[in-house]
Amino acid sequence: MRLHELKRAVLDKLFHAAAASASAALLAVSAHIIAASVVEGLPALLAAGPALFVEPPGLPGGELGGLGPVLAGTLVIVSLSVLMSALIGVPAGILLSEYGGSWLARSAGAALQMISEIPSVVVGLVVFTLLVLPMRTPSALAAAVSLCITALPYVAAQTRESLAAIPLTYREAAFSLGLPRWKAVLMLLVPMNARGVATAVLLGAARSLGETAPVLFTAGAAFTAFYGLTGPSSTLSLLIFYFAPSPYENWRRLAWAAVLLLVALTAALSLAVRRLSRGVRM
Amino acid sequence: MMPQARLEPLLLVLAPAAAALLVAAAAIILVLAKGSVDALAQGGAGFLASSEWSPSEEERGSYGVLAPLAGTLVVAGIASAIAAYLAVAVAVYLYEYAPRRAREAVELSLYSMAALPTIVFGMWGLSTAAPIIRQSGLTLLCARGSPTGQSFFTAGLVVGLMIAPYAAAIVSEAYRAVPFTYVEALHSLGARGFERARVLLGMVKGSVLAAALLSFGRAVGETTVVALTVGSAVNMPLCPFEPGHTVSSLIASQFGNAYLYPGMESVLLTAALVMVLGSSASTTLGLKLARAAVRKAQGGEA
Repeated sequence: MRLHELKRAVLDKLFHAAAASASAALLAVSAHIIAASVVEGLPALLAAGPALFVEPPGLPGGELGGLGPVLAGTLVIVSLSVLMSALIGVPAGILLSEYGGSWLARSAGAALQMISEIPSVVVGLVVFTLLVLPMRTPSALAAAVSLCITALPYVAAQTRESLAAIPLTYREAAFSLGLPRWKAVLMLLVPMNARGVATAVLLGAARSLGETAPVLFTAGAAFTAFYGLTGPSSTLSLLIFYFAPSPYENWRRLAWAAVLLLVALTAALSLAVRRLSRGVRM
Repeated sequence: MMPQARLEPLLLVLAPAAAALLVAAAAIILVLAKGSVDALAQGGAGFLASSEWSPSEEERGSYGVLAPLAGTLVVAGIASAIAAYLAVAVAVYLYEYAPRRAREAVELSLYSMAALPTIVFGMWGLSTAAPIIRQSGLTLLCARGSPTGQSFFTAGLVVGLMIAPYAAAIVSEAYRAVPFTYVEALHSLGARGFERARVLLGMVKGSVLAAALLSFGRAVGETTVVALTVGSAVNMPLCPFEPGHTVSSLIASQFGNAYLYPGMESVLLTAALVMVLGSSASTTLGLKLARAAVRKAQGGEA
């Protein structure tokens, strides 16, 4: 009996240690990632100064330079992608939530499910084949289209979930007043749920900002200048992908500066999402 | 079928969005299908079973994708094993052992890891994980161990850590869904933490499998992290600490110039299709299992 108790106590301690060390490992990794991006990125940011937001990256192995054209590309590509994914994703979410039984909603739902399961690099391949090849150049536009497709399932799913969370009583009240469904949706459910829709759009923005694989073949890796909507362009994450493994010290430092910017932007976006989704009033 | 016979005016506004989604989905299928048909028409299906990769600009080179296909399986397998283990351990820790402060810290770290862009994990894998693997001496275990620390294992490790928060969310959801009376009963029997965990995990074992499958599905398609940490060499994954390629990292490194090499582009598109099918199958099955696991836990069946 004594031995049995001892065995239980020891096993319990072992389980505790294994579970705690796995959790500690995850804690350590996330802390180290954030710490590393600050420790490596902040000196690069400070060294570049305000020029970071204007100058192009320095020559390989030369001066540090900045991220000016890349930031411009990121701003244009991500804004365009957010705009497109909101214009398609929010209506798609409304369709899925409010007209769920219709064949249109069911086929849109199946398409969304398929798109969400496609690895994002494949979206890049498809846009490359259908947009970059005919245009004969990678472009900010093609990059935005790829990112938009990757972000769409998130925007639509979040819109649908937030609409579905509105209690049935509100719908009943609207229908009992004799409002047609489209009026109920547009004048009651969507305005009631403005926060949910805003969350959906922000989620799409976070997704567009963070994804790299869809822009690998579509943006064009033009880091030194911004060539407009139909010219080759780049994003922060694409710059990290190309500069991180490079042998040039100044390019690696720029990559770290970009990592820090990305981490800060993502943190801001996810804080905003948390704020918005917490205070839903019903 | 539409619920009412009347035409809903709003549907006219929503229909273009649905149409855009259908066009996007159809475009993906068509491009992959056309690439695959081209590849099969040009040289048969032999490239799927060959590991010889020798590009040529003049004539049709050999583009065997067996090694990257096998590499994808190995990297995704390592990643999903790591993610599933961490998910179970974290769920057990959070619900059976953790004091409140530790629990909040772990939950915050899971939340922030899930929010970080994947490229940040790629940077971390390149700057931290790969050097650790190199200095650990593990690469010496392999005949052609990676000199840089970038290997199948490194990629699997970083991807596994990256998707662990998602896997943990799936296991935790099922764990939480077990009715409180069971937890109460276990406590009243004087069960220790590991005994409670054993019983409760037995009730949610479907969710662990679901977490592993969903992790596998995600890891199969993961591109940038893998491309930065796998070492980029066409190499059969016979030893985990050798550099290699997965389908996605091969695409990332080769597709940009594939038009220079006759036949390469369609081979890469076919490999992408195989990857999509594998990833979708795993994800679909995983989602089904995850939902079933939560229902089962709620019902309290063992």
